[in-house]
Amino acid sequence: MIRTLIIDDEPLARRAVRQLLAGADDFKVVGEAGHGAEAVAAIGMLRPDLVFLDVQMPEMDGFGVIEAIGVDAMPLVVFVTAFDAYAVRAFEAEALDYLLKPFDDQRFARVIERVRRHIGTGDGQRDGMRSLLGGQGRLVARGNGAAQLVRLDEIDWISAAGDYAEVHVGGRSLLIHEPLTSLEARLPQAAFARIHRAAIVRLDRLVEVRPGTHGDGVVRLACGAELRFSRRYREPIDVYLTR
Amino acid sequence: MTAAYRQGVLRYLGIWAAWLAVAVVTAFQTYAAGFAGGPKLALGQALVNGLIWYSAWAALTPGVVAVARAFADDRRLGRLLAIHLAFGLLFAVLHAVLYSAMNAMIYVRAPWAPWSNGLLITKLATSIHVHLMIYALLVAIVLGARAYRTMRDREVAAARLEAQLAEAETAALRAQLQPHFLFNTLNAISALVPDDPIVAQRLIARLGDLLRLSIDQRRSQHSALADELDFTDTYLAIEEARLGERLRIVRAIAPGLKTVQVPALLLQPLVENAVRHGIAPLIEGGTLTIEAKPAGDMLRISIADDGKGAGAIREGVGLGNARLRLRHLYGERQSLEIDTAPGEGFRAIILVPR
Repeated sequence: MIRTLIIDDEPLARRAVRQLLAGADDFKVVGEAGHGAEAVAAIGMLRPDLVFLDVQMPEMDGFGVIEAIGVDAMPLVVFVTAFDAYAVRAFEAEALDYLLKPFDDQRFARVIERVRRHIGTGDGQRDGMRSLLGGQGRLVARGNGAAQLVRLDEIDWISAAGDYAEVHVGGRSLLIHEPLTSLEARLPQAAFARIHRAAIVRLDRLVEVRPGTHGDGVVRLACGAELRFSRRYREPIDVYLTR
Repeated sequence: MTAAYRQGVLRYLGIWAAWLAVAVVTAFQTYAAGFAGGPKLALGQALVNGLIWYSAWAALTPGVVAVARAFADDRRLGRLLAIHLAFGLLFAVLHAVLYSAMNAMIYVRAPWAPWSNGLLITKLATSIHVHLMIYALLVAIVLGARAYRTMRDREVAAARLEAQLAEAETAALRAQLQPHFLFNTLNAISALVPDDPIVAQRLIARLGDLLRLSIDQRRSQHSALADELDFTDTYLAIEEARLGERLRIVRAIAPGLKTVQVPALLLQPLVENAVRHGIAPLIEGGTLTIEAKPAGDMLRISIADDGKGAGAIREGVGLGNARLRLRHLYGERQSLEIDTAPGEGFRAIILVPR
């Protein structure tokens, strides 16, 4: 029996999954969760083998649930989403299971078939999830409440905002619930550099460096932003300019 | 130098140029009349006489324009005629005074000047009909220009309102076709099909209504309050199905307001805002309150949620468009107030004439 938890903020969306699962004898629905926090508690308590995880939920979204549980403790996941072209491409790229709303028995059957294959192999999905959430060229950020996957090569710069980091992507800004220092450690060193206590820039976005009188100065980015760099963090800029 | 000042100077110069042209034409005509048996005048003297005569009118023209404008909106014809006859006579006298004075200044030192003390009286007596006609002509030009401008302004305002309505329509359609809304709605309907086909059918009908209302081609600027509330109810029926008990709705519509005309597509975006950005982002959901009641000779509509609220009000396209449309439809006789704070919900209060 594959013990399954259904996570979605819309009752009817949970019902849709439940109905189609009723036709699969080897699946047993052990519970439902209507929001992220409830999902985290339910996963901890019920220890399901599989979760159908809605990506967009109020307050804590699907990616937030995985972050809260930790990839290693996560059951197998089928991401359920109504629309997010970039996320879907990312699911594809990482060979993760996902289900597009609205779905019918045929699409559902294909997903279930994949789940049956994956459930035996164990760790296959964990690498994909890890890489989805921040390893290979992506970060999960939240703008206006909704989770978004941001590609690292789209980021212009990142500023500190208290416990949060504010990621500036093509004129938009998205929040990541993570202090700048710990975020810095997860970014590839060749591409990003800390230039100030409260700012990280993507080095290939630099278009101008204006040195000041005390070893500090100002950099201008391709997006037009002008940021101060301090003496303490000037080394990566020098290195980047001479290479 | 301000633009208004520069425009004033230009207009004044324009008036003088026009009268100068008239003066020159008249002078040559007087001169030519001398050859055809009229009184013979030297060309120079004919010109000076013409210039004096018409520059007096040029000096008086701004006064005539001011009078014409002051009474432009008076619709009582008898009164209007009396006023303009009185002012016409006044300007005729003023012209005679100006003309005589200038004549005296220019010709008094020249021995051949046709100057006499009786000039004022003579001029007044012989040319009062001409002055009244010139006065009438000036008033007609002012009123004609004014009517033309009003008509053009009205056309521009109508086009602007059309454009804003079209923008509101596009926004409504875009909201309905917003992928999250559309796909999640279809998903919710899909879940209802096996066990609740009747409810599923109803929701499909509501979604159809919503899309139809959003792409309605024959929309006018106003529609009855009842119709606008129906539109929001159509949308809310779908959101209720999706959000379940997280969405609670309170409606308080005072009786007797159903037929009151309100701007079309004004309430819908506010209701959507409340659900999408106020209530849906919260686990506990929230209550949407729609109120309409009379306030003196105005209609007061309030759309409020007790949800997420906002710190800085970012007036997106929706609110900005709503404000512009209200202003262009009702001038100062309207208001749209926003009251919100983080965690304190969001309330929009609209006042329009009823």
